[in-house]
Amino acid sequence: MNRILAIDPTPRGFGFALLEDRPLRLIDWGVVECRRGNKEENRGKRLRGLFQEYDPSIFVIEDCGRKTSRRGHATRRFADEIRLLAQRVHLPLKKFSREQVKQAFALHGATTKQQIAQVLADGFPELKPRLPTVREIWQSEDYRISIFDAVALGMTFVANEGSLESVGA
Amino acid sequence: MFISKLSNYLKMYRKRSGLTQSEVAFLLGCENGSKVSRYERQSRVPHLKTLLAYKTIFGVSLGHLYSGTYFKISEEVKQRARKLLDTLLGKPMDRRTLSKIGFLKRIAAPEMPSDDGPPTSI
Repeated sequence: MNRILAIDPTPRGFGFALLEDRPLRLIDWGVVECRRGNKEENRGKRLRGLFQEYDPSIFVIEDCGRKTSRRGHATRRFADEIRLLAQRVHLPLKKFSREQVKQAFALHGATTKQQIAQVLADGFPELKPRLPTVREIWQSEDYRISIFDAVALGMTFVANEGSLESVGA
Repeated sequence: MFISKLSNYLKMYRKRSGLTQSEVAFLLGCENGSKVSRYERQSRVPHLKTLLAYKTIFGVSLGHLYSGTYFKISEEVKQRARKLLDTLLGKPMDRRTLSKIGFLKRIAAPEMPSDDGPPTSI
């Protein structure tokens, strides 16, 4: 059995999803927002808290290092922090680009974030109450979408790898 | 890499139900949500009455709610059953001993994989 901790770093904090395969189920999910005090320190603290609480077998994050990635400096730094934490605790870390996530969900006819979120909400009914409404072009992205981004990363790992042997665990 | 189950899945079932810790605390008959938080973080073990209330709320067996703990305890019981079995096998066989051996063999047998909830359609 694998316990997958998928993290979606955002400028305000991060979205996370904890999945278990065999049987595939969503254990925990949420958004961590760190707006006050030392944001980066608080973010790291919350991440380590999650790690201690759930003892995952793998970390999954978005590949922010790619040229095509549109993530800011702070978000990239946090992705680096996750990589360092994974190294320190000797856990495998798997990165997926947005394109790979989209490919994984293309089978379900979902290519946009909203469509992917809808597919995930259909698959995991417990996520339905957190599904944001379709945003208008002038609106900012809903903070809850990072939960779906994290679940999508976890599901991409399940779909692509399935086992930990392929990531050198 | 072998990863054992979490000691309890109380938080998962609560979040699936959409209830808050305070609401679950009300259903359990606790004063506030902090007790529920402690149960979920495994820093406090609920009483039997609370466990049975949890079973009623979420409609799943205690074995599912406390998967990791259940697995650990059942392994310990199986080990003890194997020891007792060895002791009985060294004794003269009568009908009663044979019946006990059959019973202990059922306890010591490896468990069949259980269904941990509805599979997702994705």
